[in-house]
Amino acid sequence: MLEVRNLSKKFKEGFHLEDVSFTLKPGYIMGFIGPNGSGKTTTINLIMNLMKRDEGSVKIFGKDISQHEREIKDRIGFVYDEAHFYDDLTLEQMKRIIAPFYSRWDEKIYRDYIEKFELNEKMRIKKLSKGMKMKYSLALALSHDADLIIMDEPTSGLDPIFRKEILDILYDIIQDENKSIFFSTHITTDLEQIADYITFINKGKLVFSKAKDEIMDEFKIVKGDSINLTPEIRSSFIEIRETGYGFEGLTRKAAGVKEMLGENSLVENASLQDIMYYMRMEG
Amino acid sequence: MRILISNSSDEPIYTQIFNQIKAQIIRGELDAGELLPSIRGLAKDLQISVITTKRAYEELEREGFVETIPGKGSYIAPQNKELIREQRLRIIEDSLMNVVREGKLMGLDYEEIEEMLRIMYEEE
Amino acid sequence: MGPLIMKDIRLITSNRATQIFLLLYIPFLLIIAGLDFRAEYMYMVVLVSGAYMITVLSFSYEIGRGTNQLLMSLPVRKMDIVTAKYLFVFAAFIMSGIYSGIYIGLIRNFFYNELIVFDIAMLKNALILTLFFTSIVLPLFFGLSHKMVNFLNVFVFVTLFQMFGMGVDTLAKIFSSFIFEAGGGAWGIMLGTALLWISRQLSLALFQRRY
Repeated sequence: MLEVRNLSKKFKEGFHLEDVSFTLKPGYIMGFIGPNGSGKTTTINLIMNLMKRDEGSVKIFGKDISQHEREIKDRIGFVYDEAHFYDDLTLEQMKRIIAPFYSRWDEKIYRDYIEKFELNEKMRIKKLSKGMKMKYSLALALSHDADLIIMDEPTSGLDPIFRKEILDILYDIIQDENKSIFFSTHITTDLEQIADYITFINKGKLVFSKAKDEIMDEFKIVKGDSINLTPEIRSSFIEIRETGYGFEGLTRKAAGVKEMLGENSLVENASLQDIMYYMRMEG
Repeated sequence: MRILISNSSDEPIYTQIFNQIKAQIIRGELDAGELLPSIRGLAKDLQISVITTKRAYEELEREGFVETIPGKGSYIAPQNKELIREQRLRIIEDSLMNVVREGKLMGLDYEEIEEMLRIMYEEE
Repeated sequence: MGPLIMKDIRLITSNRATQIFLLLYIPFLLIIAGLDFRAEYMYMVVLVSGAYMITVLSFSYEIGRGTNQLLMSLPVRKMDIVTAKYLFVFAAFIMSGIYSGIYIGLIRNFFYNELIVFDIAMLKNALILTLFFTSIVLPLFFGLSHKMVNFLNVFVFVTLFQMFGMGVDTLAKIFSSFIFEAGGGAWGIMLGTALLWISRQLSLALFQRRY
């Protein structure tokens, strides 16, 4: 459904996006993570053809976005962070502007979402709270039978209750196995449950793109006593953090490390945040 | 069907699902022909990813516990009674093995263990 | 195309600030012109100024506020965005024509009988003027940055006001020149349209270069 290959873009100010590739099949959710400035927004802008790419290809629904921009975007629901709406308008006015652009706009579905989200259509957009703006954004994105939903930091700035509500909505969307969601975020806890795939980007390069379950199996946190750290054990870690109380590190070879360290060690699941932190030098 | 997921367990989630469904089949709590929830519906209810539930179902299918009919869903496969009986016997054997090991570690002899077993059997 | 043009019309008419502006700009222009300005050209100049201002307003949302992301996520081609803006100019022309006509007509009836409201020749001149004007200005809107566009607008308004300041004879000379008179104005219109088409290609190129 979304296929990015060898995507590259050079900026004059020095930042480069280099050789980024990943694929998202229909029916799945992909989380897109990376620290600030890692190239997440650039990647999304390139996917949506908001910027011209230097190299590589972006294919959505099997077609090149530069050639078939209109028919592809007709089927994409796009949700932004700073919802770039015309703030002075009311929800209703904004909808009247947007709806005619889409061939499969469904007024009834839109109304259902507005009701479900408890939005007041007569209200001006600038008066909405961030969470309400996000829900409105979603309502618009979901009302034209989009097959691919792309979300750029949709949950940042939202309180945990809203975030959970939005996740529930995403779960509902994904019940249809022909739809996919691509979701970039800092808030990795949101992804830990729902994401099927995780793509991690850092310093403009791809670190990995694989199934979340595989990532959870592969990476583990091992904790133990600093005294037991031999050079051999150290080399099995991606990175180690030492404190006065011991050490903690991320490793792909948890079984081997555990054996070497023996009883004086603890193996735990690594959260996405851990992985992002310990791998922040990669890329 | 009951499924309880622990996020903090060492066991991968798909394994937990697999084991729990398998156990319920073996204990006879799930009957042949019963329809399992869709992988997406289950993912939503358990608040986990679709791939995870898919993998669990695939494992179950591979081991012969579940049958998937495209377009309809996943059903509990008719279980070989003999096979089930064997599985349950094996579970008991494992427990007995533990008892024997622990007993030997403590220095108990066979008669003492047998006595314990007899008392428990009569009380139960 | 339709939704794009409707978008601009809806945007312009929905904002309190622009509503007030649209309400007051005609009297404002008339005041600047001063009452000794010859009535013959009044309507035409107001028409063209109005069309220009409405067009500028339609760009203000995209250029100023960074709502380009929204526009770019909609299923439209860049070519459509550019073409729609050019078509919008005609819409602005018609809106301005009707609106100015009514407004000035009212002023004439209640205040100042000397004002001439409607004149086919004036309409034709206004159209030609608008075609040329737009051809020059629109590519600049598409190509220049936000700040530069603001400078541009100031410059254009000053030029427009100059028209008010020109003597009637100068204006008469301009409007009887080849462009406006040849073939009853047909040449002017054709030339203007050709220029508009070239201008559109240029705008498209500039717009695509930025994205």
